[in-house]
Amino acid sequence: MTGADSFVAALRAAGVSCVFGYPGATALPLFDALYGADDIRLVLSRHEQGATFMAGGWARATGRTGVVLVTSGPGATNTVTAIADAYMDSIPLVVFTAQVPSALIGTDAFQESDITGITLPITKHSYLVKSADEIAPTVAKALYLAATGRRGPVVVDIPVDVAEGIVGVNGGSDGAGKSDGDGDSAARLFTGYDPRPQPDPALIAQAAAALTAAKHPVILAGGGVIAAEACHLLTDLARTQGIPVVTTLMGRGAFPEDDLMWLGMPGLFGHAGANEALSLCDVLLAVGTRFAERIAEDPAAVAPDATVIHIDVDAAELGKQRRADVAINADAADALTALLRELPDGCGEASPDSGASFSLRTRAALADTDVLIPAYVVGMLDALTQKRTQQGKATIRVTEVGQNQLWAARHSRVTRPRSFLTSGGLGAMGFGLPTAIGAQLACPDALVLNISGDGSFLMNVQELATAVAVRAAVKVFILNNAGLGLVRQWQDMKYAGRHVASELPVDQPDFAALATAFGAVGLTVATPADFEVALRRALESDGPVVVDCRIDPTDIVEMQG
Amino acid sequence: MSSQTTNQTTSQTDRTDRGNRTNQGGQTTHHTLSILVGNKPGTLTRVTSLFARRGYNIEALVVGQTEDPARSRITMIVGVEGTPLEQIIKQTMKLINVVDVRELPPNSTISQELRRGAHGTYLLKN
Ligand SMILES: Cc1ncc(C[n+]2csc(CCOP(=O)(O)OP(=O)(O)O)c2C)c(N)n1
Ligand SMILES: [Mg+2]
Repeated sequence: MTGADSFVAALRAAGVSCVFGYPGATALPLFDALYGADDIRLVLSRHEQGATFMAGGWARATGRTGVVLVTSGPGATNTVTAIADAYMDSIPLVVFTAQVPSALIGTDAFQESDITGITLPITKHSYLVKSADEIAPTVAKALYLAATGRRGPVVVDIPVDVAEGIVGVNGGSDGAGKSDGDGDSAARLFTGYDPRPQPDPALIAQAAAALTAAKHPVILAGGGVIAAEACHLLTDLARTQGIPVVTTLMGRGAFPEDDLMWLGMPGLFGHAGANEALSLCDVLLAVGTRFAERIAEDPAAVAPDATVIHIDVDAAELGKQRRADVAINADAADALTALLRELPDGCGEASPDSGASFSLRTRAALADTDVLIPAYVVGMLDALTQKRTQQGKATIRVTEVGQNQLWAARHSRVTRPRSFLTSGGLGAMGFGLPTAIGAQLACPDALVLNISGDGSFLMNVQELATAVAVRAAVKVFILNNAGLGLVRQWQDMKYAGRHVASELPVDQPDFAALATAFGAVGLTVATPADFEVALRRALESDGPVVVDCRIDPTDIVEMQG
Repeated sequence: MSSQTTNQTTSQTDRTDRGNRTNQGGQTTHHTLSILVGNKPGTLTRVTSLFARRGYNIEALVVGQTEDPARSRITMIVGVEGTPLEQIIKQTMKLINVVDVRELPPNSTISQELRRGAHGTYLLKN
């Protein structure tokens, strides 16, 4: 058995069913070993950044680790942005990069790049594999690390001679059999790594006492609640105790937003009620959030007068941004389970006083004009999503970055976890289309809607070819405002309206024609009436569709003062 | 084990661990950290790169294999200004190859040696 064979065997043993990749000379042994592997789907992207975002989309939509396989040098460096994205948002991802032959490492060989060095600050961990025997155990370790504790990306660099090497010739074990990808056996390999610290009962009691005594408690829920699959626990706690909920951008969907107890998203681009609740509460229960500076200008002063209970699986997040009165190092599921046990039943009553914050402008008022505005487009997609949810059908919305992302966040009600995917920490344009494709492949029955921008769409437009090839029927809605809208908005605010490098021609390219050239369906709309027709056509099509929505270019994202 | 050590050595800094780098008063204090790591290639780079990118200041550093050949020990003096020591220790603990981090008392022999060494030739001065 070659190292490459043991690579595939180890993926299989760990239950990996899909690999996103792009080949090249040094990666060929690994690709060749996937030949005929019917149980592991290989999805060929059109750019390595696309492949890596697709794997991220797969992971964001399911919680299962996304897997990438690329060649050395440029193949590896092309993955960097999407790795950084996964790192910022704590997404489980393993990126396998091929490397030049071991003997050539360090000689500036053709297509050599020090990818473990380059990605060192943006990975949870990384490996350079030295022998064929090490491949299978390293695959298992990487998959284990990515998916445990605070999730994150892991890079595994495999020199071509190592992949071609024969397993077991150096008296080593037959790698594939030994490392079965079983979490526990991998766990024993890491001293000092505690992926699941247990909540301290004394701190849980303190938290329960503070919540019970609180007059105006508020919950701040972040992406960690979704990562820990703790959304039902959070919802239980909020409802039984009558505590309203604020969700961060990464926490969207952790609590059903059609519930009156949802107060919105905090921050400059969030909802007023959420900010107000944070500033007025007397006890703040912050779960799975890192108090990013996006939730408040000064995160150290969030909830200034409150007793802060902070739960996070990453000990380093406790006290990093905001001092906590009760700092509980545990994942959201373990901590909330313990907290629910400690709290008396129904000690509070629902008091969603600022619940009216949710400001979805009414559909009728918006449809009544000839101008297409973003709140209408997003609102229509939201209405569609809610209708499908009532019918028990899954819908996943994926944003790009810019005004489109903020409009999507502002005017959507996310009622299920893993159904609103966005580049929260990195804010990477080009995220949307490949992420949507990855999510669609992971969830074939879901309707995947990509809310895009005319700038961002072009950053990974080549993946339309992938979508067509693998029949990922994603529906892309470009909020075409003839420019880098968020940049323009910023320039209006801070640079006297000088739109330097932020205007784009509205019809160059012709997005609908471009989509058609890729073999997708392309439509252009400029009025609400056209939009409704296009939406119907998009839903009727069983393939990828791009709808170029010519929105009012002067519309801006409302900001909270 | 490891987390216990962390708590013991830094309990007095708990209250100031609020992560606002600028409101710590600008006073630099010095601490000696003993970092036990897996003896794997690149581990020193992981530790020093973490310190560089998070803006922690390494004043002196020495590294060597321990009695157990699978482990190395990095001993360093860090100058702590904006970021509380507890945060530095927690971030270091997060590195997968790091097994344990503890603070050594300032009057320990190794601390004194390191401080002297910082002005000598055989140790790195950052
Ligand atoms: C890769 C990348 N480059 C640059 C930026 C900076 N940036 C943030 S928003 C934005 C404009 C995005 O334009 P578009 O996709 O059309 O979205 P809009 O704001 O117009 O909705 C830019 C350039 C970024 N976030 N990501
Ligand atoms: Mg735009």
